[in-house]
Amino acid sequence: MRLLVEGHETPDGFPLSTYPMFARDRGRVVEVPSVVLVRDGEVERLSPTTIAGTDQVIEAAVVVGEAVRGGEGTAGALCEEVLGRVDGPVEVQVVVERYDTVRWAAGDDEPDDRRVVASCR
Amino acid sequence: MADGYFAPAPAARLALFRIAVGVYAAGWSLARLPAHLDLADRSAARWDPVGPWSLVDSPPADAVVAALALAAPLAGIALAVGWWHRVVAPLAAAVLLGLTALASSFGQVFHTENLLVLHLFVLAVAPAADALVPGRRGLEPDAVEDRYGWPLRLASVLVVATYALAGVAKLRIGGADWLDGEVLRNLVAHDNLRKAVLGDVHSPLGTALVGHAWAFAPMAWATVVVELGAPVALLGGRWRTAWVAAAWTFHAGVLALMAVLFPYQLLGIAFLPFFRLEQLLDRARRRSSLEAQTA
Repeated sequence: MRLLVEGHETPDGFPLSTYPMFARDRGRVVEVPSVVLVRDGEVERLSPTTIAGTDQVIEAAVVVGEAVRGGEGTAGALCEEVLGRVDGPVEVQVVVERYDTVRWAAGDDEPDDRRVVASCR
Repeated sequence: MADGYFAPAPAARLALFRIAVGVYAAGWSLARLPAHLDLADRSAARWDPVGPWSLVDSPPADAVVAALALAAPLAGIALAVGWWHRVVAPLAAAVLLGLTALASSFGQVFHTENLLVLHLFVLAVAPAADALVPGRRGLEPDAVEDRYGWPLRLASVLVVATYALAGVAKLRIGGADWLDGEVLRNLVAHDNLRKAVLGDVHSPLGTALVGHAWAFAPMAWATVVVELGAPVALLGGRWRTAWVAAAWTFHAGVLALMAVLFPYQLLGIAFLPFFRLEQLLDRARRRSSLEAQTA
């Protein structure tokens, strides 16, 4: 069986899978790429459907992550795409936010750091 | 295994499994119909095909997506009814495989419907319509033959393999450290955080539990014991019942702490192959007979 003899993580597949989900440690401090709305100076969270046209949050996370890794160009394209899905005079930002997950779980909602990769209005 | 892999089973047991899987497939694909139709709007730039779609360089045409999405609930119903089973069952398996693999071909592989698809392929090659088919005469639901037993054994083995592989993956990728609870705690925290940041439903219970680090080592051990211990279910009897109860509880816990839903398992459909389903019919018959006598 490939999983047992190979020393590295094998690519996942469907419907035959190695079921690698929830296996890798994410660490306590994480960076989460996302897309937010800035209205009147306030940051508003957007749904996976608005961000990536899917109701699956993990898929939306992958879309944003790939856009951020692609640089300003791809992040900017995603920004414009999301802007087309929201109403009103607002600013959309593609951001990477750093959190201490344990502090967040304790109620500290603000990220330790927020880096804007792309913005559009 | 308690009864041996090729031990005979009643036709009704396999037929009841067919009906349950068909009804689930129909209900699930109907509930997901809007999302499946939306697959046609996915950008081709996100195409990362898996399964049968690995042979295709670009997303299928909108008409193909719509056809799969609309055919899936109908295929599930047709499978449950049992007419033309030798044609319908493989077709249902192919349609559901195409649809579920398509949903996993845009950058994220989902793991909630693997068992459904695998069970559909078992039913596709099994004589699962030799009983409980409306309008068909001459069926013998109580007929006990080898050919009704092996498909249910195979379906059971697939369930066991799924959980065992998941357990192996955790230890292979995470190492023994996965058992100290810190990895699980970070996973629960990260999953809920990501959902909150991306505007999705997350678990208040799981989020609150992150503050209690001591709780995660026992949960980590329990998770790995359930997954690696899955083969005991093949022993039958109390071992089977205990493992199924543990696996179901595991999924209830995942829903409670991470808002991740595995409906095929939580509705119990995934675990039906382990049980003597025909006993449900026997009880219904006895009740009906008793009512007739007392009337």
